[in-house]
Amino acid sequence: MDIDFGLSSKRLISLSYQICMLSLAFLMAYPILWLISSSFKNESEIFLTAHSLIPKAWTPSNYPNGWRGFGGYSFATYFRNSFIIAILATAGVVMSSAVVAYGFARIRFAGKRIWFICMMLSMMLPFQVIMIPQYVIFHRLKWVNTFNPLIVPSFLGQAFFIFMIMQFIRSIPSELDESAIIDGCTKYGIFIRIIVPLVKPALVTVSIFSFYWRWNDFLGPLLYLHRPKLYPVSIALKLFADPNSLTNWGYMFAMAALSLIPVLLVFFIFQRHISEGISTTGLKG
Amino acid sequence: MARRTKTLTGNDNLAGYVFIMPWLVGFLAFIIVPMISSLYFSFSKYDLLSIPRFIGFSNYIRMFFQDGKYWVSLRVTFTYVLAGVPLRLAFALFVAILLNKRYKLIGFYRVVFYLPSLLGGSVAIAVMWRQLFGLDGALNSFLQLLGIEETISWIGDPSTALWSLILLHTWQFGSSMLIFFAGLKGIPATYYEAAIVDGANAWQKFIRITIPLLSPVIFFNLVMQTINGFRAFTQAYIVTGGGPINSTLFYALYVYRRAFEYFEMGYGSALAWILLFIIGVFTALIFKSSPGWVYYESKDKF
Amino acid sequence: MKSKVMLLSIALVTISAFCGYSSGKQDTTAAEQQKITLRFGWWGNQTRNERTLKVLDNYTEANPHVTFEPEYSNFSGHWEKLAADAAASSMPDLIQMDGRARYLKRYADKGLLEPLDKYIKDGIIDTSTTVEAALAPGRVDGDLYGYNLGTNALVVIYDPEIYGSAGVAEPAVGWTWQDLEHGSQKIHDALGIYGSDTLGANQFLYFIRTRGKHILADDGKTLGYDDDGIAIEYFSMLLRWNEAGLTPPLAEVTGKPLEDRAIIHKKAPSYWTWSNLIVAVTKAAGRPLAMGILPGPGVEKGMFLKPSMSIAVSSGSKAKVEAAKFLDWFVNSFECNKVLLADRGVAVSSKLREEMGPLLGLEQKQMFDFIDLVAKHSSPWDKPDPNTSEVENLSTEFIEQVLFKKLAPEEAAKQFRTQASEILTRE
Repeated sequence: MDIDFGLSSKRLISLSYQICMLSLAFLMAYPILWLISSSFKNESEIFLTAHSLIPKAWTPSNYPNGWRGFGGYSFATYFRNSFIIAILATAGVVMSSAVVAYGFARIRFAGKRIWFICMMLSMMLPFQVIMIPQYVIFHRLKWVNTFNPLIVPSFLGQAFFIFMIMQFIRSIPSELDESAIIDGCTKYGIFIRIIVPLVKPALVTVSIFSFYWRWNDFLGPLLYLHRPKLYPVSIALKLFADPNSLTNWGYMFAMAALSLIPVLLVFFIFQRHISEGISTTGLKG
Repeated sequence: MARRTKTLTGNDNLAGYVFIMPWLVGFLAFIIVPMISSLYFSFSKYDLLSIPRFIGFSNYIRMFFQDGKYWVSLRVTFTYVLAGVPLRLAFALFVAILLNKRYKLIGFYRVVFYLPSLLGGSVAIAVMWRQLFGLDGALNSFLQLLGIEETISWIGDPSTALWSLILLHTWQFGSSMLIFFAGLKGIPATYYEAAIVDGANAWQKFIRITIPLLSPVIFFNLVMQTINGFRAFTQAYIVTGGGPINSTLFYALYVYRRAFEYFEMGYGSALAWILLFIIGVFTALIFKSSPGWVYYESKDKF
Repeated sequence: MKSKVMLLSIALVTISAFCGYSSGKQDTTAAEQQKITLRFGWWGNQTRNERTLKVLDNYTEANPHVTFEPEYSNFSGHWEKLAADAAASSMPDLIQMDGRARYLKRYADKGLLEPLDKYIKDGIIDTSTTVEAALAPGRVDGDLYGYNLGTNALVVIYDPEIYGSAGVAEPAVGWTWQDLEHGSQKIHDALGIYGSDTLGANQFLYFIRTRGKHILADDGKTLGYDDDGIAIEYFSMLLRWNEAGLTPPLAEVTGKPLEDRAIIHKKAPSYWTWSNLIVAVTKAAGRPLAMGILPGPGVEKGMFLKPSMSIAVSSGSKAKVEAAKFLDWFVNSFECNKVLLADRGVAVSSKLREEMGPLLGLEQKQMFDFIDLVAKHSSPWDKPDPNTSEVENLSTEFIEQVLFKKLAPEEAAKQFRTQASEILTRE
């Protein structure tokens, strides 16, 4: 006989689970909430009331003031530049990385090990020591003050994503490939018809990552974009701060908060596609 | 028929090179020359403003025998990696599995847990983190609520500053979590269904199905987090500046300092190549261990 | 065979890449053209950027054949970009340089900057109303490379109200470290706040100077003082104040931006910094503050004037004469500076300072007056040396070690000397 305690234990577990999750979520989100709340605080208040999430003097003017930007270029310009770089680079890197990943994951060819090791090695060197020689190369190509150094290399694959997609491809049973070959498919056909659809979650993940890395990247734009009208948001945000004089923290937080939105949107929209996993039930089991 | 089977298992150099051509072109055009240049710099005295001058192994000798800060930065970085990488991966895996269901608000939770990693290296995050972990910050307020009166500045004290950065690193587990998501979605539901039929409980399902089928992705995350952990730079650069008393002097930050603030790109390059060597060793070890625990459905031999 | 070919091609590509590296001076062959564009690189915040852009437009209006390509960024970005540009032999025509000779001397030594004396001699740059002492810090080996954009000096910014309510005499010429200590104690006891904000490497530099020595010796190979007692005294003093609760603990202070310092929150009566920050600090504090000279004994030996920043012309510029003309307008003309409003510091031309007088806000006037005061009680700045910044950073580390109780002052002074010597004698 079940004794009724009011709340069944299952619901109790579910409730405590919800509470746990909510508290964890709050911890995760707290710093962001702090950022947003500070963006609505008056300049003088930000550090004075740093422990409180509620602004004493509600200052939404931080947003239009920050938006004004610098020297005639508003954040409309900076956002536009960021979008161009991020979208183009992402499109390029998804396509090229998938292609290269397939080559490494599924095809045997002479020199594969060496090139793979080269690729891994290229990820291990701190960028600080290659950024100058790279700059010289792009400078000789006359690509300074263009978006090219930031976009073109993406169309040539990126080691991190190549490696990631490789791992996903290697999770796909090779029986699929074999049956396709029997049906007369070439390696290229296998890639397009079988592999790509099956690594869709990985491709979506690559898109999300690439978009927000490019969006936040400031070193590349710093070196290659000298003209302020080409600045993306990541650089513009840094311009608010100067160690030798007053920093407009309110404006910076406001624009920083705004700059979170596109990345969040991209994530929100794309993450649903990760959820729609592809089932390979036809083959397994 | 025999010929077709051969093309699947034998070498197909043409196809191979066609597929990796994009990366190869990029590598040869933009990466290999700077890498070799920096290797050359590591054997020279190069101040960025004039031609590098070859000086043999001097940089390396100085690094190992004359530079106390070098060992400090090594220790700091190793601590960061050995503590931060497992912590972050554990959280990412745990939360990814938790959120791998369908129930209401799941989208909301996913966004919230992913939010922190969006903030990257903006100055805003530096200010925020310093505030949160400072003397009058949120963490101390929270501790006072719990009755702990004795508070310090977590970010300003040399014994805790590094841990606040490790916490920052862990807090941003969202990106690793995302990759685990994608991996989890690749595990067919039929496996779980079959397991339930066989009477498996949650833990058994986790150990026997999830982990093995997720292992390629775990492997990937482990390798990449290790590599990136050793190269960590931005957090130290913008939040603590390497201090106090070099307690957060990340290796990459030290490289940057020597190269750009003190105009010793030669020495900085030497530091960088040793780091590459260290990372290479760790990565190779992880790779070597992988046949023991990583399971590929494709059963291919790399 | 294939690998040999690969190796050879890599070698060839590498060699050809080196041909692109900067080898120092470049010949200026181009004569002045009709229409020229000057690239001007500086760092700053919104205010400085907007004002500077405005004066660039004004200059172009008055001189239609000159247009500008402004390149502004944040402080660290500016130097990273400049290094990259130097490596690619494409530095901007006009460059905002530092006043600490950390960067200026390096770039000048490698011949990447244009000596300005020739343009002064030819009358393009007018220095008639500027004393040589103001320009001297911008000289490297006798040649002028960086033109002083604003004079700066060490200062203690303090709140006269707090001093008043505690009954402590305000800082004035001739006050001593003892006065400071007693005053801090009194304020601390009376009001329950800190007696002073923290001191650091800058004040250490000053302290050494008051004893008649410098942080680096003339030849730059050793520390400039032989008696470790000076360092021990300074470190001990800081430690003593810290332990008595007169200064905020270091953990509280590290990394705090200007807007969050103790004086802003009325938790301390003072802030030790550079004079050109008075405007920003006053604005952040929201109340009037005063500027005090540093304590002695030896205040005349200790105090010094230095450029807050300077402006230079790159030696690779293809329009040096036009750049120099603009430089002259930038530092001397009233039309320009009435827009800039002393944002970069106190102008070096006495005539300009006079003209600016009526335009200045209260804090700027304070700044100008303070520099006048310091001018009467100072001696020339230390010789520029590329190692200065590393040694100064080292001293900061040791001050931190002492204040965090990791090292006793005696031990810290000793180790500081050892490690500094290692830096200075490095090849």
